[in-house]
Amino acid sequence: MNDTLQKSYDVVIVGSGIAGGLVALRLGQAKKRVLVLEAGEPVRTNINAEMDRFYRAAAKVPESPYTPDLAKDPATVAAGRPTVLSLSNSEDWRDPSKSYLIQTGTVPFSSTYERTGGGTSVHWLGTCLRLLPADFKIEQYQPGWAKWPKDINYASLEKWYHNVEEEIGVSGSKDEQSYAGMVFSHDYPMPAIPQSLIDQFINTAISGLKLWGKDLKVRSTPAARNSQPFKQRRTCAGNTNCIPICPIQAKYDPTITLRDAQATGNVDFCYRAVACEIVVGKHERIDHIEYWPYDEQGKKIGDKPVSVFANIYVVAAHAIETPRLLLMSTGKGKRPNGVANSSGQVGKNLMDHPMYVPWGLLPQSKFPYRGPLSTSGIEDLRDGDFRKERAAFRVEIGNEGWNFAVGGDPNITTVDLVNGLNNSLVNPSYEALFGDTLVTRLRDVLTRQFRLGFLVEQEPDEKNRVTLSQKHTDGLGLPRPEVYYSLSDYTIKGLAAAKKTADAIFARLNATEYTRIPDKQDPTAIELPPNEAGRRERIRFMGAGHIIGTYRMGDDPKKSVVNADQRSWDHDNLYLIGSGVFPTSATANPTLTIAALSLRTAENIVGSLK
Amino acid sequence: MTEISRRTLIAGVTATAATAAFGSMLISPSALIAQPSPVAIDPDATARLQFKAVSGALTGIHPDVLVPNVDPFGTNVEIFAKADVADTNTLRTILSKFSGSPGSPPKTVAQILAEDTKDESAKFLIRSIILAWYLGAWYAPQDLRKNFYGDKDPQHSYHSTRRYSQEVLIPHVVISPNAYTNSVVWRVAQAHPMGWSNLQFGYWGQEPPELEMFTKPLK
Repeated sequence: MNDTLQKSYDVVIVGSGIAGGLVALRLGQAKKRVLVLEAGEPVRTNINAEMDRFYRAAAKVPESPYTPDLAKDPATVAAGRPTVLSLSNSEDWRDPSKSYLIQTGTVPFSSTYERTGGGTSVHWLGTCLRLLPADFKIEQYQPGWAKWPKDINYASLEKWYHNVEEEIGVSGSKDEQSYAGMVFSHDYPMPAIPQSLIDQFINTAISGLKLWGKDLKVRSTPAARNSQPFKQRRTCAGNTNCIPICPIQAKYDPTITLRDAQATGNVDFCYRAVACEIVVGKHERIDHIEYWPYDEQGKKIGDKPVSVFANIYVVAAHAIETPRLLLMSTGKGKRPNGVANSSGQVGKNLMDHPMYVPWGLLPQSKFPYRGPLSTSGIEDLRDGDFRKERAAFRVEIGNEGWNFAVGGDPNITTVDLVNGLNNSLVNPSYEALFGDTLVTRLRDVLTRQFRLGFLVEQEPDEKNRVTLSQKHTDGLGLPRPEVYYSLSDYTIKGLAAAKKTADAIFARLNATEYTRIPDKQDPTAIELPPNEAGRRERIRFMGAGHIIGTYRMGDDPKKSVVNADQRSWDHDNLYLIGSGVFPTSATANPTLTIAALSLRTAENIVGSLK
Repeated sequence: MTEISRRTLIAGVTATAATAAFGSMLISPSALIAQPSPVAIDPDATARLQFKAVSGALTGIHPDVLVPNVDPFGTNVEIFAKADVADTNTLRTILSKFSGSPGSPPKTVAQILAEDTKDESAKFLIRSIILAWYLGAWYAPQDLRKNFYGDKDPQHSYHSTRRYSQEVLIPHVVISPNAYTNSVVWRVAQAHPMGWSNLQFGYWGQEPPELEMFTKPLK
């Protein structure tokens, strides 16, 4: 395909994830000539190869269906990415031969992303929560924090949220989602996904439970997952595999949008093309972008980067690769701070939703490992006056038992019961079972497993940032991202409140908890502030996969990188899109807001090209 | 060769109708088809039939669920081959013990084997075989042995609770995609393999069929 590319386009987009894909689609529909540069592998005509890789993978991690292979030294990979396995051992997260990210923080940055056709959302859960009205006005609780632009708020984004829900296909109930001030101009395009037996059990058990002045309730989660046939895609069959891959594409992923964009006849794709320099020309306008092509073996093609030209450039490479590209673009040293960085904010305020995952056994069988990975959540604690003191959070209810909570169930528990081990803690007498005794015991444990996930708001902190490694490079010789990451007191207090909430819910469920207390040496172990009994508890946190911040939007060019249209303050033909523009993390899974802002920006670009 | 008779076909139709009545996830209809006469095509055919029976006793899952008479996936062949390569002498000893106890119910024979702690090779090969059926993955006997005799204090043997921790995962390989999608742990959970559902929208909001419909317990 690369040989057929035009030399000049209306718009060049770097990145083919949900943000870049939606912009490409809208521009293509508006008959604009678009080129999408994607660092990773092409979208295939079917997912058979990915499914085969998934089935064969011993560790069925989010990256397992996708290339490149996980075990490679990141220094040899043309388009590397962080992986869950590189975070597996206590030491690996700081080992550059295993971790693509060069990590220097106090705790590991534990979220990963993909560099492939379709981007990270090839293995997203599909959760489509909107941000709350209060999330856009966090200054009411935290006057010192960065503000969202005045033109970006719930009312102004409502139209775009609806637009995205129609575009990608979201199943939900506006009645259930009308809380915390959210209003809906339209209902969702498809009815809500039915709740699992676990959801139903928890909802009954927590009836009347009130915490921090809020009545808790289990609500079905709006999700880009078909509850009826939608745009020629099937209805969900409950494969319990949204992450890493839906075998029937009943869950939306961005390859669907890329296909639609290509079908406009106006969008070209250039895969295995790693953007390495944004070149600034006259009047501070972007003149062209340079990229390195590489072949199927990962070997660089040619002896100099290829240049592509357009009127407008959009960088949609997610919240780590986008600042990396901006910082790499020094114009051979003429711009030591990189491109779009007059504010000095590029790379700063990296955020996630640090996630606390408690797990246990319900008093009766509620049959996990069935249905989508999550169908409901508890959303009532996403906002409140407590945000003056500590982070808010949402609660995700899992349908996949202890699958990722214990590091790969049902294998862990099964091996315990067969080989006389106790890694799962359900076999304290170290029995080795077989025959019908094994069936009975294993069935009893597996059918009662459940887990919760508390996704905690993270305070923006400019210490948490992405820079360029001075020492480590990738397979193309480009500097790898260096990440400093830590958790503030505000965020840790939110984790403590999550722990307290989990305890209250477990008590209502009459559940037996099996959440493991981490060793002090565990790099993800967090010592919580003293609880009401004066005791300090230790929990561990996970990454939620929600990479946020690093090129924030705002109304002040001195304090932000882009404006409300996601346009660079410094270069008026450069747009930087994605969750990197979020000034604050709030508590919603970010994809729907990424997509809403992308469609808004696409309209802006189309208007500017007329 | 399997003889396809009118009687076999009629039994197959009946079984298919019975399965349709209970839903699509249940025991494969081929498990209920009339038993064909096995004809040894190769020297290991008999051993594989013995292996099927031993596997039923060890797993607690009816052999006809593990290995339908019409078996397009060949999981029995794959697992037998893994065990044979790992320790052929021990495997043959296990099979001969089984065939040498013709009057014993399979469960009794399995108990004899599993409690034969003097025979460490047999003990861990048996565990490998059980796990292969349950998980569709091969955990080598020597890795299970090493892990079993390691430090059993969970606060020490489990250094990290990070998801997908390799410290927890005993080295193993997925035998094949078919072995994974036909592994029986999902039946015991009254569920389906993650990434392989042939159920219908919304099933997760309702109770699954009884365990017996998934496992066909040993009599």
